[in-house]
Amino acid sequence: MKLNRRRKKMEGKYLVLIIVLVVFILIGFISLSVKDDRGQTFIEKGLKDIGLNIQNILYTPFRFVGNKIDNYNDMKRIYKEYKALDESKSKTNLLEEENKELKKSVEDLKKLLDLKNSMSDYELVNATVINRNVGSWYNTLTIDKGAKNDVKVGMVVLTGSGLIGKVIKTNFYTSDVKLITTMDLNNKISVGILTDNNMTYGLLSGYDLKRKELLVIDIIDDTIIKEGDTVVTSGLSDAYPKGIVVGVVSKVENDDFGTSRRIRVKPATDFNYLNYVTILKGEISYD
Amino acid sequence: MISLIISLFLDGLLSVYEKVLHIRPMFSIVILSILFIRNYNNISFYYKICLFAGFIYDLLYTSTFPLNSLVFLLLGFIISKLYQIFKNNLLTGVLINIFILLIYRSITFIVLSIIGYLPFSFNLFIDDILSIVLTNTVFFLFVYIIFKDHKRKITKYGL
Repeated sequence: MKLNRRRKKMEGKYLVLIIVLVVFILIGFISLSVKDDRGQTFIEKGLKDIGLNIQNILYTPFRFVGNKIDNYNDMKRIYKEYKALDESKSKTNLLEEENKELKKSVEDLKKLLDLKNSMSDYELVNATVINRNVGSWYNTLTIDKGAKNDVKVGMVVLTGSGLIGKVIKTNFYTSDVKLITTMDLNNKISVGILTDNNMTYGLLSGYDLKRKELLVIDIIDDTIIKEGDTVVTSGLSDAYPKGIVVGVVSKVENDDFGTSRRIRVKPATDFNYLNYVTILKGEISYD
Repeated sequence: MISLIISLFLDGLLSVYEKVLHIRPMFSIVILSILFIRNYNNISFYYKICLFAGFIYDLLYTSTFPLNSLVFLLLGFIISKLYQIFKNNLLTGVLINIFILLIYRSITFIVLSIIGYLPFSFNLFIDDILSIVLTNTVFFLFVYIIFKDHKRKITKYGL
């Protein structure tokens, strides 16, 4: 009787040990699985494409209605802007001339600096958001362009307003984009803050979900930063080209330890309304 | 099974609008308890459905295989045990539904925090929890009303 109880106790201990071991193995496996640089298998890509494209077809009527509403709102806005523009028509010719001059100056400066990673060196490809990966924690979305459209992992994705993220996985006809609003601790982006006099650098690291603001830490110098200063990609990291607008400074504060400055940035893009995005196609080169 | 597929697609479709509409659909999880009631006499088939739903969730929406596959299976197991303990009615259904949503959110949050995908923050955990509960309870009530044969089948189950 006593021996039986002891044996049961031992079996119980082994069972707990096995469960703990299995849980650890599974967590390790999941950890590997969610890694951004994990290559996807052929079957995985195929199944994902099929599922998401069926979903995309089902999504079409909803998108159609949404577009009609957007178009109507746009027309109203454009009419107002047209009225305003009509009044300032006389200034246009002058601006055109100025624009030509400025373009020439930019070209000359680019040649002078031998810059290769400016925005104009990229081919722009438009894509539609077909899935906003379920749950607010994941902060990824799926677009309807994939490897067959020459989309590659690491390509930068933006909207007309500014940066939204980069491609982390490509399937045949769809791709996953990781947003800059991710709370992934390993995701840091080097940014520059355009102040009155110069540019100072920091690291975009984290997102305040409650206040819907990006956080910039590790600001390297004592440059005076004001609310409203523009934050752009610095081009120092090996993931994003220089000069893409990220947002504007909404608050300058001390970090949790009070040892360095931290900046809150209001994103330029409204992440609640992401229906169409643009992919920057091309290799980022550094000088 | 069709209801599961529709729920999965609704999850995907509404995900694009969830920030605009302030809803948090987790319809695939809600439908698990409905599916249990419809498949109570074939429990192994029910567990296969749970595994399948989790796998699709992982593959299409979260890219976290096998997290959701296993969690969905666990939720299926919990649902089956809860329906053995509690008497079936609309109120119990709603409470079980809320309970499994919280279990799902807790497990995924803990795992994602452990692997460094999310910071371990309580605010993050409770963020949108009210929206999740409300959205999915409304969906549960809607599905409960649509599947009129539930009550009969639940009674047959003898709970």
